[in-house]
Amino acid sequence: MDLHAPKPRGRGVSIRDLSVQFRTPSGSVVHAASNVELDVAPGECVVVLGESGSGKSVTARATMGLLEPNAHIASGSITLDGTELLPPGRAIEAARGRRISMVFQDSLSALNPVHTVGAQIAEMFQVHGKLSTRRARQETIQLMRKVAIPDPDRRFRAYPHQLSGGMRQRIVIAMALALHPQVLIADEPTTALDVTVQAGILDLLLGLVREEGMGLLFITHDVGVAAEIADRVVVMYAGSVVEAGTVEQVLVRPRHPYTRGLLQTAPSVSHARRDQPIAGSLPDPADLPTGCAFQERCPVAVPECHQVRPALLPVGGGQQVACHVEGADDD
Amino acid sequence: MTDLMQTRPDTLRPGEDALTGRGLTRHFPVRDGLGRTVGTVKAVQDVDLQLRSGECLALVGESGCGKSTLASLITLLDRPTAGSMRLEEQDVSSLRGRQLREFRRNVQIVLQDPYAALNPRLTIGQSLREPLEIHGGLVRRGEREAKVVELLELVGLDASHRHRYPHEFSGGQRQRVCIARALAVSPRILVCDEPVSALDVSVQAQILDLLQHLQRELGLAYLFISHDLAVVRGIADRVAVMYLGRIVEEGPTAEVFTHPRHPYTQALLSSVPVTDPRERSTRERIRLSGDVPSPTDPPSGCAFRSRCWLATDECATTVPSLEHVSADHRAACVRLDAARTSA
Repeated sequence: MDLHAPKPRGRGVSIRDLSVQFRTPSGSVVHAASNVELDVAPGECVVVLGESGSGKSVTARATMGLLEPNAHIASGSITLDGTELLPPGRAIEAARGRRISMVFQDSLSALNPVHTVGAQIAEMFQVHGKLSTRRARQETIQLMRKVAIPDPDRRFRAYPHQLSGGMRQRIVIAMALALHPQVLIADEPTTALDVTVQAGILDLLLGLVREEGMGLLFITHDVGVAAEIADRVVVMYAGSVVEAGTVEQVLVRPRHPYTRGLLQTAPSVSHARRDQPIAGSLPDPADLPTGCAFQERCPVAVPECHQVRPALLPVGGGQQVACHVEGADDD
Repeated sequence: MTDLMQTRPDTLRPGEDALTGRGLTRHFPVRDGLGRTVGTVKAVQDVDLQLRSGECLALVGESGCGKSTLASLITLLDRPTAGSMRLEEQDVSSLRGRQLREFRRNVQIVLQDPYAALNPRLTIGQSLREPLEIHGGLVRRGEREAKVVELLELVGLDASHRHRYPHEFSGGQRQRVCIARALAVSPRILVCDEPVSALDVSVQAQILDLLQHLQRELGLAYLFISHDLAVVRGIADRVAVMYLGRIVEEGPTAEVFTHPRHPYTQALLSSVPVTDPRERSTRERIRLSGDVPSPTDPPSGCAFRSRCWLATDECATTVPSLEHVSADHRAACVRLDAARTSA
């Protein structure tokens, strides 16, 4: 029995039937996310795996209430700890930074270049926590120590450009964690970092999930990162969830042809063999085909795939697949 | 394809040294606001490198390790502070003018960002004709259009694509165009600097397949520069690992990946995420502490000693040289015996 099991914080995030569209200047409509379903429970790491245009970042931004002005939420519900966050307004404004926060890929543009990193973290405590300057500084240094920044007393006075990319990403994570959020959304937070630095950041985030019961929604294109940290994996393609399940279900026994193709071609350090890559390229999000978005690249497509969009359906053991061919049979 | 083989001059026998660097060193002065030199960035330090004909040699290492500086020395885009470069038997260190152009015909480059590498105002056909016009003796004027079509088909594009502009293509297609342009002058050596890093995973696999196919068909040698160890595992015959401007380990890819000998290589490989979630509990992981030291002020002796769990006093005084650990596998570490047992 785990004596140190974290006590769950809140009820996490639930996304139901979320559809987000963008209107382009030329008047066409881009279906950036279509009927997305996603849950992040407290103390759980959910990885959203997808390539560019898969809708993974749009889903995250919709959850944070940070969509661009030309985005339109066509349908859906997003709840945090039972509170509805849609349409974006007061609910998400009150929760953002406190109960749910987000870390982005580019730490340099997330930080203000003319303030010290210490002052930027301390501001979280002063503005939201109403702490005195001295207390805020103490809290900040403690937090910097927690995210494994060496020599935090000295680094408190450093400017963003004086720190390495990995160190800056730790500062951004510290800011996101300052108010002890129930859920952290991390959008490709390690993509720009070297592998040895990435490993340290992944350890840090997983520690927060395991030890403090934080819910982590981690967005990546890297199958390896998913295999490394995920409890559950959600695979997205061209705006839709195509497969979801536990990390073993999705990455060891994948059902969707896209997931299979991705896993077969994902390069690995443990073997040199690579299978036939997935043919073709990602569809134009402004001009998605009728039926399944993967049809043109799919090795097992049948006529139905060109007519009807497959729904995300259970295939047993909690695994879900959106495929007419591979999702139908056994369970 | 056959035409390309014919325009290729004397192809080397496989395994011979195609490009050789000896003692390559590149230092950059660091200046203050008044232009006074206040320090030196030691980007590349005393590197020996052999690229053999027909092989794919990968240069791996993390950002700032000097791999791109080394690539620009090897392609003569930059000149070394010390050291020399040979193409086969010819010393190319100080080539100028026509001879330098001939060197560039033999050694072509494919860069990371296919969006920045193509002139947006030129059609794909015009971009592909440009190298044929610069190296005018290769293909007669009347045959250049046919050559452009042949190049497009060689990289899996369509002849009709030559009338289009770069913005009409996806990232993967643009990288195919960049590869075609590099191959237009029938080089023997292709230097690929992070050629798939900007591409989506499914497209990455297609470009890597194309590069391997071209290597076999045309007998090309690749110097493949990448931070992505999993990609390197799939494509390289040999691998050289760099840390702070020096090569710390070098050998056949399979051997280095399964039996890394330098502590840095061991740490680097153990940091790469596994692609099978069942492996994550069983494998050993080495976590490096701290950051890579500044190349303006690297540690004395072995540059890795400040982060190495095996470092002794000797490591602070001796710069380790690459020593053979097997026939074709070398590592630069004075504690190789200890490193073997720790991995």
